[in-house]
Amino acid sequence: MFLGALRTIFRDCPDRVAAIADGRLVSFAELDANATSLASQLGEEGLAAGDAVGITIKDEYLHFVASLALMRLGCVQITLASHDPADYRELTARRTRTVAVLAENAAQGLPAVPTIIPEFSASAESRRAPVRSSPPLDDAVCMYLTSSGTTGRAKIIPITYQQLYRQSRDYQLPAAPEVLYRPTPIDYNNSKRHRLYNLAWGGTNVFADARPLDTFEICQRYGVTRLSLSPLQASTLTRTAVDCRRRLPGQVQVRLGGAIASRRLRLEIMADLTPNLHVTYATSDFGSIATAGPSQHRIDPAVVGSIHPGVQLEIVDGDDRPLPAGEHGHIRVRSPGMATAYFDDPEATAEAFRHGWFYPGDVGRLTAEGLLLFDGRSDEMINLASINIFPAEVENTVAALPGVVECAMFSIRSRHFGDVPLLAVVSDRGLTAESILDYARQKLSLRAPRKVFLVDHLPRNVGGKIARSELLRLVGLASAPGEEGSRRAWEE
Amino acid sequence: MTGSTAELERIVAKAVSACSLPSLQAPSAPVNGSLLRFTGSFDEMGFDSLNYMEFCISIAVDTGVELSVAEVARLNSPTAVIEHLSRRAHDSRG
Repeated sequence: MFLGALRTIFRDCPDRVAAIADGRLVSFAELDANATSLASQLGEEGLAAGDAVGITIKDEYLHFVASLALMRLGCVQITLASHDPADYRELTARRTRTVAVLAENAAQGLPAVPTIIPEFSASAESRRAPVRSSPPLDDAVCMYLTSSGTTGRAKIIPITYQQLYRQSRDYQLPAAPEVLYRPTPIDYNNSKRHRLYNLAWGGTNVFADARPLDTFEICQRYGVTRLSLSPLQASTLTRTAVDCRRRLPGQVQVRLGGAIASRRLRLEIMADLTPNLHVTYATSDFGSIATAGPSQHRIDPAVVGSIHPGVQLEIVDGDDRPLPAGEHGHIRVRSPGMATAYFDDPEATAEAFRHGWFYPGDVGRLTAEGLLLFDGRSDEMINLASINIFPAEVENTVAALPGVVECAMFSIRSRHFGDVPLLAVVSDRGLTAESILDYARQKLSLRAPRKVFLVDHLPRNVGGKIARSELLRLVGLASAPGEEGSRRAWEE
Repeated sequence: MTGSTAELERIVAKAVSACSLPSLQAPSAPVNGSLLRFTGSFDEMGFDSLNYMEFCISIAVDTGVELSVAEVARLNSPTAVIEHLSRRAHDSRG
């Protein structure tokens, strides 16, 4: 299905621009020829259908061509990103029985796995013989995605060609081809996946430019219609917009993903960067689930919008019983494009994939109109003496107080009462911890934090998500790595 | 843990105040400013189980010492809690 969609685009639209790399326009015909050329080289190197092949390539266009070439051969590709530690890449390659790594040079390869340095013809006239292999079946695995695990052992998600095709349909609702720019490099899983979706829709992918063009210039120069950003990237770009008195061109639709953006950030983006803002709720394991459009951001601070047409979603209790609209519960989803298991991890598979549903580990609610409200991660939910407290609700409430820049809830374990909610707040107007606490108590009552800490910044991981486990140490309630989260730090 | 009586009085007064969440029955103790100006018992203030819990949590977040509801009920009054915390601070200093 996915390769069929690509073949159709390559055949019907050879002159359309498929990619803009370093400012150079690459047609679908040229991209097709490049992928065919590289597939021939890789075939000659001995790679064959079913082989797991790593990609450690930072050059975005080369990585993209390598991805397409491996699909032509029916190989299973896995990104072994150079920004990941070598031992992590080695472990992942060993687990997936990776037979070779495509890298820009030998130094980027792995000691125990052969390295192949990809080459392809730069012209549309491929000098190599065409690939002589049967196209892979739709239910064959085309890629392994890795989740950003914190334990050093990633979850590996096998995605078939059919699933990739279905996900691309769930992802991209508008029928018109887009010009997509994602500042996040292609060697991040979702960045590559979204570019493949876009390609299958006949869209144009804009890759990182070696020239020092900023995002505003890239959008203007290349006619970008969809700009995909993380909340952190969007926040930085919005500050630049304010400082430099710039706005994105009118045709640009901003899509936020990777983490749920606060309402404050959404409204700032709409006021200072572009009114055309969409916030997507998605997971690596499943793909896109829901999107909130410009008219929905004011409905509720937790809104992540309408469920995508191909996706079924339910809110269930701890015994998997569906809950009515308005009630907090666990989110579960299913669609024809979802992954169905983790590779080599039956325990994690049994936990996340049950009864034909995928459980992303999030909690939320549905409104009577069917909009999804996101309340946070299940494992971030705090239970204080049987009171369920959702970080997103607390953070969205306090973030509405003028002078609060951002805030994050965390907890300390009490021997007697469970998890005691605490709140770290960044303020730009000299608010006191007491005034914030009073406000929270008025708004949230028993779900209010029991103490507020003013901090200069919130710790974040590389993906821009708040590192809650760091907060106890930041406010001085834990002194060493590991003394965090659920560990009781109080004297008896 | 802090040890000065004035500081402990402020913390305990704040803990009593913390029990006045909108959804809880407000204790009737006259908490005024940073110092406690009363000698009544928790029962006389109308403490219920949720008030005790909020009181204990507030003491814990401000002192790092976690008292149980049973301990606080046994101590029976804010004044006795101050004395108890003061003794613990003194003992911990050795």
